Amino acid sequence: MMDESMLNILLVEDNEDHAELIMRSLEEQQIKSHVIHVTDGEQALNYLFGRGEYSEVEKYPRPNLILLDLRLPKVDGLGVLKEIKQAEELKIIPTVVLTSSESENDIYRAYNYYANSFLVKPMDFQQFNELMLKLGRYWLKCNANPVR
Amino acid sequence: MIENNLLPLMIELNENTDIMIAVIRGSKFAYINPTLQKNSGYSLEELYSMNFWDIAHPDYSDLLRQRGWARQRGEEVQDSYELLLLGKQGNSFWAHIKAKNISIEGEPAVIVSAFDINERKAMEVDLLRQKESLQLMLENNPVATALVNPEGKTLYVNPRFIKYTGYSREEVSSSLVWEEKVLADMPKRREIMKAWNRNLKETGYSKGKIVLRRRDGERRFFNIHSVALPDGHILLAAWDISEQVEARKILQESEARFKALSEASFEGIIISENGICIEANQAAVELFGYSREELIGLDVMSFTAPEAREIVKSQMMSGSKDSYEAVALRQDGSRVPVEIQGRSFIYQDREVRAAAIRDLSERRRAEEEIYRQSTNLQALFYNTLDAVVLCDPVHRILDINPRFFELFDYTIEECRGSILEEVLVPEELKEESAFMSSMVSSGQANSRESVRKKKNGELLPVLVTMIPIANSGYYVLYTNISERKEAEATIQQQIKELEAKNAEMERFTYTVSHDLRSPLITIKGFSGLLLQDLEKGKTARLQKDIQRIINASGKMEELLEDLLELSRIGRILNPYSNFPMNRLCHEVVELLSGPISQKKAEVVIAPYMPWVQGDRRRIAEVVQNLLENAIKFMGTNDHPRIEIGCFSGEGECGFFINDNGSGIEAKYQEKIFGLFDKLDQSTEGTGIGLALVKRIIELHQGRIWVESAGAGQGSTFYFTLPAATDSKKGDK
Repeated sequence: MMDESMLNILLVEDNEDHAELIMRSLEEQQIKSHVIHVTDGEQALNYLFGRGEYSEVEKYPRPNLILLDLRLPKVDGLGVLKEIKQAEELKIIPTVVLTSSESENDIYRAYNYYANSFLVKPMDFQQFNELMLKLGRYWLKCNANPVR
Repeated sequence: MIENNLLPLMIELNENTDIMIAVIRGSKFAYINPTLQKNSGYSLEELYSMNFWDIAHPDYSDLLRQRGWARQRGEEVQDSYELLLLGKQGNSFWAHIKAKNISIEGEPAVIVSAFDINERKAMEVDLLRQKESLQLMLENNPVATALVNPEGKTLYVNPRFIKYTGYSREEVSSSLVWEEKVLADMPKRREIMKAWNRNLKETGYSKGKIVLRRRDGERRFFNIHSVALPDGHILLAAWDISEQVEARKILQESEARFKALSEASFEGIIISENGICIEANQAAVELFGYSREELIGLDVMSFTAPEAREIVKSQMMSGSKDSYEAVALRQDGSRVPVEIQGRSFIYQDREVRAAAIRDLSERRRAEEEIYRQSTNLQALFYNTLDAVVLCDPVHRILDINPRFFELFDYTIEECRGSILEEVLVPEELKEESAFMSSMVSSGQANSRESVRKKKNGELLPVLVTMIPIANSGYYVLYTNISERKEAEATIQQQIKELEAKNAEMERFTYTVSHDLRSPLITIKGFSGLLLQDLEKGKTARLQKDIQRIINASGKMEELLEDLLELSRIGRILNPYSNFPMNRLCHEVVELLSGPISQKKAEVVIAPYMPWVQGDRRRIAEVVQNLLENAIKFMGTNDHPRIEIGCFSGEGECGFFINDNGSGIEAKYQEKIFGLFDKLDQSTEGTGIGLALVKRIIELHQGRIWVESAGAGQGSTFYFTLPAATDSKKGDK
């Protein structure tokens, strides 16, 4: 059974290095988390909808936080976001867009698709760490999480 | 007593005098002198035997007898009287008789002397007769006549006078009646009469006109002449001129009317007599530039241009009423074209000719203007770039211009008389056309873009403009707008392309900012981690992390190079040339022979491929990229096979590169051409390849797309290029 005080994060990130950075940062900040990493939009949707390789639902628990990059192969981040927020059983999962570019157009579109938050990956290492800490604390401790 | 010696002398005297002398005693003559005897025609014997009264005319013999006897009886009798005597021949003659009592031998006797007054008597009778006939003449004179004595009293008026005035003879004789009634309509009658009398006194003659009011109130006009007679009497003659006055008045009025009419006329009116102008109206004055005074008395030839004199002369001579054209010569020497219509007639007993002269210069100008305009219109009609058709009010074609033939292929012979709509309007546009026709029929020009049908049925986009002609049909102009339509389409296309370019540009900057940031985040992030690890003396992940940093930097370098390349493609193209695709494909395969043999792939190039035109180096890059992709995504096929071939298109050459590799799902087939888009993150490269290929093909006005039945089904990339401009095709 999953620890209730732990973040089950679905990390949708095509860049291996970035995924590693995020996971290590979370680890470093001692955020209790379990990260499921997928590298493209199609994989993310398959995971969330329990399709394809992720059809054994028990093995792949539903996350209580989704970190979503926007530029993704196959199905891009906005496409994934749109499907999540349209799905009755998924739309309550807090979905945070975490991307490397700050495009106004992207911000607008993301919120239009009901993104819960829009974060830009900081270039600076310290800031990156701080963001991850805040993110973890916020979603783990401050925010009342609907997904248990 | 008579002295005896005087007796013979007395006798001599008696015998030789012209006076008739006789002595009467009793009833007989006692003495008769020769003159009496001669005048009576009787002999002495006859006379002495006759009674004395027998020599008188029977009308007077009694008178003579009685007076003779009475005198002898001593009675008082008239001494002197006139008596008509009768001669033996029956001739009677007047005699003035003087008788005196004498006594002969104591007995009473009468001595009578008589002289012949026959001549005087005859004159008297004559005078009387003359007087009577004068009276008769006056009485019956059609001229009213009056005689006034020097005191001003009217002695006589003739019946005509009475008739004229309506007053009686007594009334008309009264100067008061004249002053207060007859001349009542002449306010200055006293002055006039005074002047009249003065004039009469001075010259013996006076004449004038008066207005006379008849007793019945009617006004009449009279001419009066008066003459002073030598005895101081005044003879007055008057005749009624009312009719003449009336006639004159009517004449004056008609002259005034004529004058007013002729002044009001826009035509110049000249009345001439024997070729001399005797009257001219204001319009003539203006037309000829002479004053009216100058015109009158002028020979009409003076204001006729020399070249027109002959015709004017002949028209005047013949008295023709037909109008004809001539040229007027103005006073300033300028010429005016005119139309003349003349007429000869008798006016106040004179043969005159009236001519109406119309200034034609305005009309000429108008005619010239019409001619000029029609010429212009003609020129326009024949030379305009628009097709023009002229229709009558019931939409039948009357005329077309050459451009109409060029545009729609119909000759005038083919379409004259046809209903315009039936000739040109496509079935589906009949309603619109009928609406336009109804508008032009109601006099409204209208215009709209539409489509019309050529003779061969081909449709032509045109601007239809319908222009009504007052009361006589309309023009329709067709402006060929197919080129404009094409241009509009081109512009629309260009706008689309620009929008696409813009979108691409947006994607590009986005991509650049995202994809360039991405490796930087990696580099900085792992550098930070490295430092942390070093501080803590952890070395386990050092090498791997450094490798990540190196990879990220390498990736960045790659990205930058690709971006540079991409920007170059946009700007730098080598000059176009014609080259055979076949040879190019062989060269590229040769270049990639390493990877091909490594994957054990079979590459087949079609033996015949067309020549194309373009930047050869770039096209080679396209083929290379597509081949590399095919090799890269071979998938798990045991017998990888790549085929390069061609297909034909309109004005362009199509090529394809087909493989039996991993294939692409339909939903990703568009995405793969995006900048830095990769379907599989694990594959090599930046994802710029297909974006580059697409860019090059588009710069050559070609198209590129991919077809694939899906994952594992292999894929075919198609692209088109412009055909070579020369005839070299199908080169090996």
